This record gives sequence, structure tokens and C-alpha cells, in this order.
Amino acid sequence: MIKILDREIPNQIDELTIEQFETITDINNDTSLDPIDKHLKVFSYLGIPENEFWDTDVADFVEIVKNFNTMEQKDFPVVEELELEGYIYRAQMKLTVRDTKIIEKVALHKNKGYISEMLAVMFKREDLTPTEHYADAHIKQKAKLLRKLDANIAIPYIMFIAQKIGQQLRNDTPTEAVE
Amino acid sequence: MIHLPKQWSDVTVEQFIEFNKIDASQGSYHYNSEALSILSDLPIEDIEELDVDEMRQLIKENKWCKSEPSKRYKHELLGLKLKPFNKLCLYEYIDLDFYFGQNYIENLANVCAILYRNTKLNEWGDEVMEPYDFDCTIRADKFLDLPITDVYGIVHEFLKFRDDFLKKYENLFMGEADELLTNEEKAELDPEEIKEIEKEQQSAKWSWELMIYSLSKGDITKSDKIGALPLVYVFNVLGMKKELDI
Repeated sequence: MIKILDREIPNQIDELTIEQFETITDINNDTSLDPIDKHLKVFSYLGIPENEFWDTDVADFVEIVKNFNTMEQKDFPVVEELELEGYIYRAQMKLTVRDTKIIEKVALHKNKGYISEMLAVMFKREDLTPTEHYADAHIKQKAKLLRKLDANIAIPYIMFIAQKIGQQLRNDTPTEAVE
Repeated sequence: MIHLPKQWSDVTVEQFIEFNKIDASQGSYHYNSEALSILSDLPIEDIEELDVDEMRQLIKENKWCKSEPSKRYKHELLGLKLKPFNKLCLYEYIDLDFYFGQNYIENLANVCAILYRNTKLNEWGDEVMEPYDFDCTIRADKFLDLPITDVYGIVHEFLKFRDDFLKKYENLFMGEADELLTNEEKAELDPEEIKEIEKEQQSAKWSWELMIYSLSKGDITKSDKIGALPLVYVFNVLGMKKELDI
């Protein structure tokens, strides 16, 4: 946690929920905002209204931002099992083509809550059939539950997905006409 | 174990048509899995069960499928002979123009059915081609199992022929109300917009029914006779009519 203008707000990954992490990521990805607006919006979302910064000196604001963005070096252990509303969900660092197709679709549209939806694809209930697991309503409902969990659960999976998709992109180069 | 073709010559026309229908906008994993399903003849569900690294490896080993097939083609297939483009009759050209205007890959088998034809020797011992009085969509199925490399080149050959033809008879495709964009108008548009407008203008001006109606002087019972005339002859007559204003 970090104290800014006498208010304590979370700034480390393990202090944020997945929902908070998603919202902050969305704000940071908003190309219509300049860096100052982005941080004002992030602070406002975490509980410090924008008008409280109006009298803050620019140099002080830059310092606040710098401190806020300082991440402690931590390992994020892989959580392979979760219990949500009485059901056990398990995930592995493994993606099938079907998982990846859905994750890719989610990532392409980048709708609100796309990180939790990606996790919802990876965490599976063993008592469900693939049809039930991949049903859109099931994924969305699971994502809603996952959003309340700590963001550090998501980090290893996001990194794993990014690495897999990155490898694929490197392979997708066109070649010459052949027989 | 997934068996995949090694080159385009192992891929059938039908597979190639399916391959081209894959919606690339849905992402590379969607594209690659659909491609593997088509090329291996396996249901998509089987491909979707693969580990993503396995699929990546398969795609890596089969990079040839991301390229265009060779532009060669055969002049004889299934006992049929390729009709020279300059010998096409009006109806054949109209149908080909329609299929190329829609989607020439999806319509490739229909295109082949129009262009590859039965022949026989006439009473003088000369080879003649069958008339265009069959339904090309029924005959099209015969071409689906052929290797794509047997026919793919005709697409490019016909496109080239059509471009040359449209250029040669450009004045016949331009109506008074559909004049070309002026240089000033072009200067205000980007190249894509110009291309789109010119394409639209050309389509709008191209009214086959009106042309046949005019040539038959309103007697639609003569339409088939006009449709069977050589394309080049019909356009030469149209050119003459326009030049002499008759």
C-alpha cells in the first residue's frame, strides 16, 4: 500500500483484485488519455478524487506517480487450484488450441474484464464436459467470480499466455509462392 | 498422428476453396486451426484438442500453405480442353465475369466448368468445342477433387485477359453519366477511394441485360443467339455501332 495525500491506496499487484488490475490496465491502455490524465484516473478509481490533486505542484505529482509505480520485486507463485462458490477449478500451464482460440478472441475484442475471462478459460471444473466448460455463459459467470480474487493469481497466467501468443506471431510470416 | 499434405499439389480444389473461406479476422489461432482441419481432413474438434505448441509446430512444418500456389495450369483435364479466352462466347464471358465479381476462389470449380470443355472432330476433321448450353454448376463437382495446382493459374490468366479486354473496349463501358474522375477530383481522394469509385462506376455501367436487349432490338427470343456469339465479335459490332452512331 502507498500513502498519497493522506489516503492509503493499493499499488502492489498482490494488493489489487483482478477487477482493479483490469480497470487500471484499461485506463493505461486508453490512448485518448495523456500520462497525467491516466494517473489522475487511476488515483481516482483507487479512492483519491481528481480535485484533491488540483493544488499539487507538478514536480510533487511526478514524484507521487514515480512512487506509485515502484513495484516490489516479488515472485508470483502459480496457483493451480481455486475454490469458487463450492466448486474446485484447476488450471495448468498448458493451453489447448481451443483454449487459445477463445483467449485470442477475448484478447482481440479487449472488452471490460478480459483478463478474468482469459483466466476463466484456463481454470476448469473437472466435473464439466468441454461443451459446458467452454459455454459462453459459464465462462462469463466464472470470470465474474474470478474478478474478486487477488491479481497476483493472474500474473503467471497472463505471462504464460503472452509468451505463447508471442511465439505464434513470430511464426506467422508469409512465404513465397510454391508448388 | 495428423497427416498433412506436403505441398499445394497435394491439396484439392475443394480444400483450397474451403481454405480461402477461413475468416482471418478472427485471429491467427482460429485461422491456423481451421487450416489444419481442412488440410488434414480432420474435424475441427480434433485439432482443437491439440496442445497449442503441437499446433505451432505443425504450422511451422507446413509454412508452404501460407504462400500462394504456383500460377501454372493444365490445358487438358478430365478429358476436357481449356477454351482459349479469345474464343469465349458472350454468355461464357458474362458468367465468368459474374463469378470473378463475386469471389473467384469460391467459384473456382464453376469457372473451371466453363473453361474446360468437351471437344470432338467435326465432319471436316477439325476439332470443335461443345456449345455452352450446359449448367456449369452441375459440372463443377468434377473439378473439386483435382489438385489445385492443375487449375489455379487460370484465375490469373483470366484476370489478365479481362483487364486487357476492359481496356481495349473501355469506351463501350463508359456512359455519358458515368464519366471518369477528373484529375482535380482524384487529387482530393486517396488511392483506395479512387479505386473503389472507379470499380463502382465500372460495375454500374456494366449492364449485360441492357446490352443484349439493345442488340436484339427488344426481341428477347434472340437473346440466346446473341449470347452464343463470340465475345470479341459482339464487342466489335458494339464498337462499330457506337462509332457510326447507328
